[in-house]
Amino acid sequence: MELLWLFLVFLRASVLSLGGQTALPLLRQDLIGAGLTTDQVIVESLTIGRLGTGPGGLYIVALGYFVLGLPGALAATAATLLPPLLVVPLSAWLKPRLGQPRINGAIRGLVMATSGLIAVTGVQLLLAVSPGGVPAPWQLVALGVAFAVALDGRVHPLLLIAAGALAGIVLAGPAA
Amino acid sequence: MTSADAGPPVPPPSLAAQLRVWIGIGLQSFGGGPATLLLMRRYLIRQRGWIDEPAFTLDWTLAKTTPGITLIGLTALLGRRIGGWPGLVVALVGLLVPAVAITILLAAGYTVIRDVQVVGQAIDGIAPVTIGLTLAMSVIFVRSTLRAGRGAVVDLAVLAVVLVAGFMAPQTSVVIIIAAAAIGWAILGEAAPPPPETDHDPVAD
Repeated sequence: MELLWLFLVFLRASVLSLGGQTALPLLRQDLIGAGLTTDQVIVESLTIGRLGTGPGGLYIVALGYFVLGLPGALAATAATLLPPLLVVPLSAWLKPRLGQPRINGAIRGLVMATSGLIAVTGVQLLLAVSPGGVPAPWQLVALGVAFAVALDGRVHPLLLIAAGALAGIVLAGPAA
Repeated sequence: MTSADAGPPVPPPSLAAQLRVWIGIGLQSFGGGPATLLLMRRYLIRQRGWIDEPAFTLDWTLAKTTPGITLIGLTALLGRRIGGWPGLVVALVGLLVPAVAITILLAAGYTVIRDVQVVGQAIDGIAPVTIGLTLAMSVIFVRSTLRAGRGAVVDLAVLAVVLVAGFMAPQTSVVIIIAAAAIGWAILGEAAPPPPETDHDPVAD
């Protein structure tokens, strides 16, 4: 029963997203609300999504694994796979409508909503995983550098993650 | 090669050949969506010639307008274009089985070392980087669809309302998403944006 519920949570988040990252706010809301995961685990899932191959949205598979083991990962995979496949039957309808103002407007509204909610979730995650709810100055610098470099887009995310890990080992200290 | 409006090429490559290429993409695309997109273009357009640029761009645009992970939708469309329905299945299996397996192995491996002190310290450094990457993705998404001039002001006003609502009422995400789509339908429409640059699209996800 828990597995079915988890599948439906992932499915709903996927249906209401445009791209895998945009499912994050709904997943955080549902899974933390149900006491099934923590912000720390969500951040770990996002990291694994960046370390692996394929779409970055596969962090959802890691999240499913952390919540319910291999069955959770497979449920997340199935729920993540289904909504994008709608494009196959929808493509014939969509093709002549690409560029129509109403369609563009609805997509633009969706992008604003999901992007804004990602930003909110990012801030909430940062505060939640910081001791005492306050990130250390060096962590803010790391975030700022990653943000700026990612906007530029020319540095591979794996290099940024490796640099972050090194910074953590050097600067966090054994008490962290 | 196929054009944006043509059917699959004649004769299509064998399913085994298609599977090999998709597995290659699924195994090599470390680093998320942009890396995957780059490899798709390299193998399918440049090396094999199974797809041409207009067809790839059209399928990318279609996939971006439908729910869920864009690259899965793109893979389904390209697979079907190359090899019909069997090609669609082969594409999804070839891309996702290795990628999902690697993700599960990474997650399983991480659970083993999670409590090691140095790993905890590393995660203290990785967490802000990952969050920074996520915030950047949010900005990139907005930039990709933001209109010019007065339209941008309206777009950013909608975004500001979403941010306030997201912080003030975090349990209402579904309502916010549906309302924004409806508002967009009503007032955010405009003529089509220029075709997306698909060589290294940072929005790839």
